[in-house]
Amino acid sequence: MGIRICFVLLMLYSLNLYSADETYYNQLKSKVNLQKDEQLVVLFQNIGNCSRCYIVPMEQVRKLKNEGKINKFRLLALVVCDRDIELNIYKKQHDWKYYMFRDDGKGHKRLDSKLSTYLSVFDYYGKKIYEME
Amino acid sequence: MIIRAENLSFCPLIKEETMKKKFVFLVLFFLIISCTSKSKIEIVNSLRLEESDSLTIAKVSVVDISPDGKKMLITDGISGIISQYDLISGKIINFLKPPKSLVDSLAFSDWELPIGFQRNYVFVTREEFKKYRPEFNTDILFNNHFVKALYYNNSDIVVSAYLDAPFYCKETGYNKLTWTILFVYDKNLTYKKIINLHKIPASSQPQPFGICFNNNNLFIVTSNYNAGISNLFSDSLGLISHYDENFIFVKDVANMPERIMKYGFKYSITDNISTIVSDGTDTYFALNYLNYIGFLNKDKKIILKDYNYPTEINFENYNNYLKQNGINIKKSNWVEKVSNEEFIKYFPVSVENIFNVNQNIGVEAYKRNPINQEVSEVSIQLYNKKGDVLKQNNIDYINNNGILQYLTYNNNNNRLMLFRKDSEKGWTMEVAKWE
Repeated sequence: MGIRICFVLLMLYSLNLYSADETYYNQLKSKVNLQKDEQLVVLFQNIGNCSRCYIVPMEQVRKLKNEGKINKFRLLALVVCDRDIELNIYKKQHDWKYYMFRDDGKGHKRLDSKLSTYLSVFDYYGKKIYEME
Repeated sequence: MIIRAENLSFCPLIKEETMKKKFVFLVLFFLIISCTSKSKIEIVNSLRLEESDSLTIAKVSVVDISPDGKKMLITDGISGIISQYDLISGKIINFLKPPKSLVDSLAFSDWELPIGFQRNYVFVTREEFKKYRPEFNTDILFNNHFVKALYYNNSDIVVSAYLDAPFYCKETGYNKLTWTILFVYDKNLTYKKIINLHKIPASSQPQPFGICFNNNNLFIVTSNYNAGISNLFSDSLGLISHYDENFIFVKDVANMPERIMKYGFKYSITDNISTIVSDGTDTYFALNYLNYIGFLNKDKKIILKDYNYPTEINFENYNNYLKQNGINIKKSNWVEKVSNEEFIKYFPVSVENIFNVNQNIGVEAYKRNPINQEVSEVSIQLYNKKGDVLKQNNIDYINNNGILQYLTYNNNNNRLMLFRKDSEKGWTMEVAKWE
């Protein structure tokens, strides 16, 4: 009986975690209009970052593309900042032509990534393919 | 009814004496109450700070009040922009973005390379750099950054900055060099000159976030990210250097505190210096996780007290945690192995800022919750230079005007200045009495 309860609790717990991540990922997916044969490349940025923290992940994206590890993909930057106006400035400063959304600081956790991760690649279903820290 | 003559004269005397006693009692009562009652903070004015399409403040990192008390200089540590505001209206007077053209001019200058860098480096223009490293956006890569702006010498403004410059090295090719310089502007933010501080005989480099002036003498934090980590185990490491009024290096005036040297630290020391302050008489500094204020040129410390400041016990417990988890602080990646949650468990309180309050010292400290790492309490204390606590209060970290981002004191009108940011309202400056 005890084992069953534990099992049910564990199921509920994992279901809850999964659905929380899934909801957030689905929101991102829908915002960038991700197609089934595409991957989502997420860059974790902070408006306080130095230029290196922007350049290194972009270098990695280029490398992954050149090595054929990512082919069809949508590039998204999640930027930790407080206001949309700050996000727009960051976008302009970096001449960003792809997707960029404001992150309330919980983006890493929602996408099941470590705080030190600066780049994650997901498939259509939210499965993490690559992670770089 | 017969009234005796003596009673007529005696009764008022008794009443008068009773009144006197009551009066003395009341005076004593109020004296006792006023002596034992706590100080209080009362917000007397809230002012919205103007922002525009060309000037948006992401972070108030430093605020300096002009000598006449009419203006303030705000340094935005994120955008690297400095702005001058009218203190009464909250309107923008002028602002300045770091100049980019300087980067190219170095290639044609006779500037000496910072000490510690190889002699065979040659400055090049951004155009030349791009020719050989086309994969980089040079506008993003070479992004000069203002870090701390201060009023100087009653007429000028000195701004410390990180300067990014492209260079060529025969062995390693084209790359980027970042180091600290000072810009001097007049009060209208018109350019006057640049000062290169890198002529010091120390292993560590000047850092732009830690500068202050005392009678036109410059004091600057000199440890850097590399030195902060790799040299933690040397016998002594310079922490603050003194430059004279001509910006000529005089000497190192403070070394890295022993406690930091002994235990290493999660963060580099550059993330741990709170503030360096001059009040015209003394220059003193505080580090985030030390429980004292150190005075320069004097063998003097003020021990912070009556709050949960980190003591030797915090450091010992932290050290035990590192040992138990096999984290070797002599290995380069040890810092990444300590999570923020763990670190805050051992160091929940940090000194965030220190400021001059009419020759006394104001100390702002944050207490953080280890579970979510968010600030749970903000304390401010006032110390005299003997180390006595004169006042102590808590401040709301979040209120209707947003989250507290910066706090300082205006000695011209004796008011606290609190800078808050709200995602909808923007920036509000609260002016408060601290009595």
